[in-house]
Amino acid sequence: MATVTFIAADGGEKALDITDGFSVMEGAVRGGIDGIDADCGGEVSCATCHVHVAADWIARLAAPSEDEKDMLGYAVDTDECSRLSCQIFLTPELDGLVVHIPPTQR
Amino acid sequence: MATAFTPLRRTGRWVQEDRPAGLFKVSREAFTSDDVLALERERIFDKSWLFLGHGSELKQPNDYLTRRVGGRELIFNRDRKGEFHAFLNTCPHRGAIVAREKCGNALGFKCFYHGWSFNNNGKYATRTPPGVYPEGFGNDGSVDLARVPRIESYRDFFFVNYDPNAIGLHEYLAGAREVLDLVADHSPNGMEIIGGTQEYSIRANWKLLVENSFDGYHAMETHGTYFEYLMSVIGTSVNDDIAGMEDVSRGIDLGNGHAMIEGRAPWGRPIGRAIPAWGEDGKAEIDAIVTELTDRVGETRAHRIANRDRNMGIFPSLVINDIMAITVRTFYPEAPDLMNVSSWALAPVGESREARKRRLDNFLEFLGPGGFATPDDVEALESAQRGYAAAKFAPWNDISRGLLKEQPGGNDEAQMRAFWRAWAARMEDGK
Repeated sequence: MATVTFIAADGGEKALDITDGFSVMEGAVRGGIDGIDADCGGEVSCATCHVHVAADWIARLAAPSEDEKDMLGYAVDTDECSRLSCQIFLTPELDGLVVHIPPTQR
Repeated sequence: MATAFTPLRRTGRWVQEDRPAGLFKVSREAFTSDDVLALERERIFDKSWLFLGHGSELKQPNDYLTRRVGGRELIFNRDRKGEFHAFLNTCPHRGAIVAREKCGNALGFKCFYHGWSFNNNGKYATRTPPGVYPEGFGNDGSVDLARVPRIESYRDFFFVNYDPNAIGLHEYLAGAREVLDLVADHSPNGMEIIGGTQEYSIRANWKLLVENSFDGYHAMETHGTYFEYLMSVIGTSVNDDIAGMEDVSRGIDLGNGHAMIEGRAPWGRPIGRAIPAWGEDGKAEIDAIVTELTDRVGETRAHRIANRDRNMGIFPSLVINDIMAITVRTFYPEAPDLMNVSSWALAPVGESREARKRRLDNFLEFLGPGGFATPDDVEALESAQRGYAAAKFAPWNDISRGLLKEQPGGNDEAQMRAFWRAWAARMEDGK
């Protein structure tokens, strides 16, 4: 179980407890967080679950796969902290993770 | 209901009626012809409200199930906000089945053939490199999952219609609405589909099962073994009990091709009619159920719900039998002499463990394909279908029973005639 804090584009914050093994995306979508469209539902097909991981967390995540890196190329306004949230899977080590939701996914 | 404006005489190709003479005939060609089936697909299955599923089958957002309805593979699901949808289960790319499981919970669907992905609200959700498809490909919804044109529900029974211009479900249901209300009102907490699905095939025309499902006349002959067993359990004589019920049972035209028989049968009903085999505890529990029911809906309605058995057909091929348990059954033709049947048990939410056990015992014992009733009915239907090969020399079925009566009984054939008049209006009159 890990607590993840979502910071919306307007600065509003919401924290969710997400069970180990679930992705940040899935926790967000099922937990009612707006702004993570995740159209393909976690299949690394749509690049609409893009988040900016907090700078002090980005290096602590497992590295992205080639598929994720390819798909990240389609996301909007990416930077070096960008990840597809459907590929960030929670473990106890990620308790306290903070992600920023971009203003748009398209 | 609804027979006031039907003609007294009809001499159609397949359906013939002479009401003053008390005669109603149906051509056996209606059960054997490929051309008839093709026309039925066009004029009946593509232009009627077909049962899709019960709301209780999709309890959470993102739940989905897949089902073949009226000849097409469908997805019945709820999106992330919990809205209900019905999609054609075929990839907009090159047609493969997209959702391949019977049921599940998923935020989206991905086709196994080329990986096309979709939001569970149907939206195309697949990125491709620039230059592979035209700019803005898919933004117009043209490669979203295709929607079934119409989806509506009544008392948590969901129906679809392949005809975008169809009248609304509420109007279509006509007198069947009241009967769905009687079923839905069994419980103060709503109803739910319980247990698994029963799926089986019958080597006979689908309309034979329509007729059989609300046929009172065949019960004593075809299901003699069951009634003997039942009476040995209950402890009264079959003939006495059944004879006493004759005057209570009625065949009722519900309009728009829907019909039912309603009567009083000897078996126990979990909603309000105990039998000695259920013991003192069972009787006490049933009494409590009837008390709650009476407080909720009043005495007259409670008596009708608790102590009347109903077999209803909703045109074209949805059967709801509210008898010793509640079965919801659909069946569709794959060929003139082959139908696939799906059957579910419906029960009150929050039923006691004991009541649920009695109900499921009844469901399996009588209603299921391994029970007392269905195997004998299947034999009867398949036997008739074999008999229809002689149609050249024995061309007509007779369903005249009770046509001259003011109020036909459950053993008469008014129910069948209600179905066939609606069938003929579509098939012969193009209505």
